[in-house]
Amino acid sequence: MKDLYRQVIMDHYKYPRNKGMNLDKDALMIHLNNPSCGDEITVQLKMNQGHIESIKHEGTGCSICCASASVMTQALITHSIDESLTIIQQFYELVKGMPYNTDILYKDAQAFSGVKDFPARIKCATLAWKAAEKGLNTFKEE
Amino acid sequence: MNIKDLQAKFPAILKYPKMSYLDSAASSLKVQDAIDAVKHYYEDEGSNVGRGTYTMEMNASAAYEATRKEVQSFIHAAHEDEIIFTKGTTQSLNMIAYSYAHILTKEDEIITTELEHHASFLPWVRVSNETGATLIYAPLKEDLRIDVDGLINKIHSKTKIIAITMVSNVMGYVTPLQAIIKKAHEVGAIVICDAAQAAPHIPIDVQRLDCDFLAFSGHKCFGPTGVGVLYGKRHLLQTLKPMEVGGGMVAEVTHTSFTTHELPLALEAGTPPIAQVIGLRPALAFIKSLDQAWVHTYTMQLYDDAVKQLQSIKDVIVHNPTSDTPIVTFSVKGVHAHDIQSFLSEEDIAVRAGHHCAKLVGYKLGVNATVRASIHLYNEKKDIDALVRVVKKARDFFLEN
Repeated sequence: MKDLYRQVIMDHYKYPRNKGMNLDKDALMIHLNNPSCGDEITVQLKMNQGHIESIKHEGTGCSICCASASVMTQALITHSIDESLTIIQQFYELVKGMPYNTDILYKDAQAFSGVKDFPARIKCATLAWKAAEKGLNTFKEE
Repeated sequence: MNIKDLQAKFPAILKYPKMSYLDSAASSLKVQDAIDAVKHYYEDEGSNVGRGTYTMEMNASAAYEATRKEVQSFIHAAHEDEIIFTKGTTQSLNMIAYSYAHILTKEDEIITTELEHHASFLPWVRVSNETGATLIYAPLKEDLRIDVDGLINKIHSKTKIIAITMVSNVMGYVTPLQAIIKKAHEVGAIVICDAAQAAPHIPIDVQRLDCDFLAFSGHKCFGPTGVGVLYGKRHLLQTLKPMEVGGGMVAEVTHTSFTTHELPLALEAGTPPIAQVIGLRPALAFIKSLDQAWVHTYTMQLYDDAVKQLQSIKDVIVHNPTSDTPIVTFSVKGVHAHDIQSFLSEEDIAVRAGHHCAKLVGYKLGVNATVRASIHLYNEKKDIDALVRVVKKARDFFLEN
């Protein structure tokens, strides 16, 4: 259990970073839920010259889901769309237990490597990342 | 009754001696006789039913029809042909709604409750959207029991359908159906009972109850997955428009038309789940062989113990401390249900966390996920103690002091 709920994860769960929405009309809001458990998350993205200027999250969910949202915002902020999409892919590899690039994946995100042994929790860990991915792809298409 | 002797009938218990299986409301463990019957069919019969004339096929058909008789006796139906085999409660309930979608109009009213499993009320949400019929939710009391008087007050000449649970899969309450059914019949409405959670826990007598339709599944009754029952009064089943047409259910066929067989064939198109139906008979026979009063007392003692012990843990809220069946639904204030479940899973304690396919109940409780521990006759005090110990451990991990 200690491998799933690492200290870094519990820290992000108890003291979430970038939580709460801005009142910014230009920001894009992406809402996703996990139908099997009822977890819900909204990610708010604001871009500036192709880079993430601000990224926020809000929602209800388990500790893994909420902590992962907090970590995701720190992992992606200031990055370009393509960089961010690459980082997100690396996170997906990590939680599946596949090889990933330790250089580009923010170290707090690497604390989620324990999720690979709890397949039922992969959806919790990736929900916020999926929301960010969806938003980034929207910007990419524009 | 000796608990060890009962447990010996469940191979999963022998295979996982350390496991505390507290998820019987999702699916019960399977009794050996049911497993043997499925295996026997595949090994020794393996043919289709009802169509051939050779020995093997006749044996399979006889075994298949023997289950129909067993179900008839299990729910005390008046006639054998009032028993239709389906793939589960969900299909049974959808078959009824499908048919009434062709009959109801915007003048009609459907009554259901917020205590329902999705399979019980979503078919009527769709029918209501498609026909314009008004869908009415009966009021619940403070403890989320159905307010029977409140429901009865909503029944009047426009009421055509009442879709209602017999036992709530989240709160464990038994619905007092008799007065509701009596009133419904006074205005010509039909009552459909979701007995998925009732069949493994309380005796069912459809004639005494006088319900019009009733559905349950095999896999919650110690039997195979993939098989369920649709019971209906004969004259009502005869009016159901089959959701599926195809082999086995037709009588006359031309290029442009067909007529259907008599019941029950008219509602069992295609090759049925033969092995599963055959496996259902010994599962129901097992329930019938039990001293049901003893089972109820025994499992409710475990339930009472679980409620008492869980309530003694700081921050734990038991949502249904007065359940009628051995289902305990609880939350830990400030800790998500899935986090509790992960701790329980790691110590081989099987529970369910989430909305239990009854989101409207969650809205009422004001939580989007709860933990549900559901008890049955193979459980023991050690399972309850393990549950309580690990819930406390998880609580202490996430919350200070």
